[in-house]
Order: sequence, then C-alpha cells, then structure tokens
Amino acid sequence: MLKINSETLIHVILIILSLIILWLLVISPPDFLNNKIIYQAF
Amino acid sequence: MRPAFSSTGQAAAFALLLFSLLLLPLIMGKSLLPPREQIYSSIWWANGAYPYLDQQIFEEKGDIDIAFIGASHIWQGIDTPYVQKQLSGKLGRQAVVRTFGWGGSGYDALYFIAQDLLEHRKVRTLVYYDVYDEEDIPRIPHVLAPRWFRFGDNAEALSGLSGTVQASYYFASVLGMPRNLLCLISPNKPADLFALSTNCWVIKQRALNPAGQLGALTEMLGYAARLPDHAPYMEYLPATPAAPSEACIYSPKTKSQFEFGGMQLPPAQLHFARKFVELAKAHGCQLILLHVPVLSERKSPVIREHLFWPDMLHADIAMVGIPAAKLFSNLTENDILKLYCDQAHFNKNGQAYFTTLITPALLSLYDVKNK
Repeated sequence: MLKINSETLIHVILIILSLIILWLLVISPPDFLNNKIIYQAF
Repeated sequence: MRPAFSSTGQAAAFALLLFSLLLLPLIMGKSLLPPREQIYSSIWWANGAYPYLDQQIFEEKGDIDIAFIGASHIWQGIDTPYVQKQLSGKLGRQAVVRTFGWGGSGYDALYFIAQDLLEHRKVRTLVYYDVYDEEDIPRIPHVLAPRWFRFGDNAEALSGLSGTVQASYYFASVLGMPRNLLCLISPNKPADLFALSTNCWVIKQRALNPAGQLGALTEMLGYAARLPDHAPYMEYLPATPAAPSEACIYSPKTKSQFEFGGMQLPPAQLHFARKFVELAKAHGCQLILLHVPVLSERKSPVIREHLFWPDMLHADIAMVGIPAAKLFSNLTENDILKLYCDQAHFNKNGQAYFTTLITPALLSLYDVKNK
C-alpha cells in the first residue's frame, strides 16, 4: 500500500490550489483586479 | 533560501486558507450576503452612474414610464429630462423617465442590473441598445462582475454557459467576497448625489451632474481623436437639422432603412441577451432597441444592427433609429465632430440633437403599447 508523507500531501494540495487560482486568473478579464473604468481612463 | 513554510502545520493552514477563500461564495450562500443595495453604494461614479442607480433602484419608489438602460452609448446618447418633459406633455401628467447607465459594454451587466431594477420598480418601457460593441469588444465577464455578480444570488443565471465561463463568474464572486463581508460588518452610508467635489464626471469630464439629469451623462467636451486630448467645447446646434420624420421604426415598410449584419454574437453574450429579454417579458416591460450611431457610421445610409433581434431573441422588440447619413445630412465633417466627444459618444450637442429627433418615434412606440 502506498504511504504518502503528510508533508508531501500538503505540498501537492498547495500546488493544485495554486494551479486552480492561476487558471482562474488566466481565464478571467485582466481588469478584474484593476477596477478602472472601461472606456475612458481618468 | 529559507523554505516558504517553517512547518507542515503552517503549510496546511495556508492550504486551508486558500481552500476557504475559494469556497467562500458557497459558504456564504445567499443568507449571509449583505443586501444588494450595498453593491451599488460600493461603486463610485467613475465606473458609471452607480450612486444614482442605487438611489433609483433601492430608494425611490413609484413606476417608471420609460427607462433607458445600458452602457455608455445610451448613457450619453439621450437627454433624459427632455424626453420626460415631452412624455409628460403627451400624457397630461408628470411622467417618470430615467437613464440607468454605466461604463463597459456587455450583455451580462445589462441583465444583472436590469434584474435588480425590475425587482424593485415597475418599468413600463425599457429602451436599450446593442451593448455588444465591436469597437470595444466586451469581455466576459464584465470587469465589474466581482461587484454585482454574487454566487448566492445569481448562480442560476449561469446555467447553459460553458464550464470556463461559469468558472470565471465564480472567480468574480470570490474576488467580491471581501467587500461583501466588509459591507456586512460596516454598511455603506448613503451617497450625497449632489456632492460635486467628489463627482469625477463633473470635475474632470465637464459633465452636468448625472443625478440632476435623471441619470443621463451630458459631457461638455469637444471631440478627441485620441483620448484624453479633447478639443475645446463649443455649443452647437445644426443650422439645417434633420427632421424627426427621418427616424425609422422597423416595419415591412421601413425595412430597407435597416441592415442586419447576420453576425453571430459570442455564445455568452447571446445567453445574457436572451435572459435580459426573458426578464423584461416576465415583468411585462415593452422592449425598444434604440440604435445610437457612433462616429464611424456617419456616412451610413442605413441603420446597421448585428442581428435581427426579434427573430434571434424570439420576442416582440421594436427597433428604432435614424440612418446616420440622414442624421448628419447637410453637416460638414467639422460640424459632425462638434456633436461627439470621442469616436463613440455624443457630447451635450450631439445628445440634444439626437434626442430631439428620436423622441417622437420613442413616444409613438410608448403610446402604442401602453394604451
């Protein structure tokens, strides 16, 4: 039976979560985090 | 280099934090969200007339006869006080005409904001325009989706969209959660709509206060070939204007004045366009699609629309506009530029000119449906 070290498991989970967040950032408009007006910048 | 985490426990706690943040919209659900009014009172003037929308949707009561709703082309396209005055004269009572406008094209914004409006006020006629703007291709989701899309409130609207688009809206709700939590703890104070010192449109864009214009944005800026270098503004009214009779309401008799591009809207845009129309039908609203011409259309002898909207959306939608070539007939190129503040938006001159010509057609459509 494969034994997984808890530290390794946590790191895998962190990598998966990071990839999910990275994917969400890539598919979403870049201005999501910018919040500037669309057609006319002040 | 030191490791990122000094212990496995610390790494596990960080993973739990990330996981919790990603699941926050699901955890909050609907019951733990602050009232939707807090969304609008959190968005300041720079992104649209949101302080005014807040007051109109959630505070003012009473039915609305005509609501102009949409992004910046209609926000700047119509002189709302003029339309209200004309409709009041026609009805023999004080009419209620408002403009609900914001920055940034896209049908998702149109749907979600219309949904909030129609849940709080009865609107007899909704006048909108095709917010799919080729000159400024709208992104899906709209960049303000983290503000007004909340998973607990609006998840059912995503049904039918692709997984990627749904994930993007979910991410928008994740990004919006901290602000929602803050509004839960410390609700926003009501905005002073007439505090001009904080209204960027009045200060920087030489606009009349939208709150005083029944929501319309009326900019006193000259034309800018390249933003933000506007020419000096001069009051101008065409000496030989077009006639209101040049306005066209689509019918078998006038169909030669229209041209339908036959293009496919992106699926997500079409999805929300359909939902907007279904929403209007469910609330018994008359729908009018108004064509607001941009500068690049100035020589067009026809009114160009992307789609034949009644067929595409399976709804009774009146379509109205003025062929740009007729609107700008007898005007020199310089005269036409005096009506615009940039490639796509009327200034005060253009707004007044366009409104006086299109209003009789709008009122005739209102009259037909509301007898």
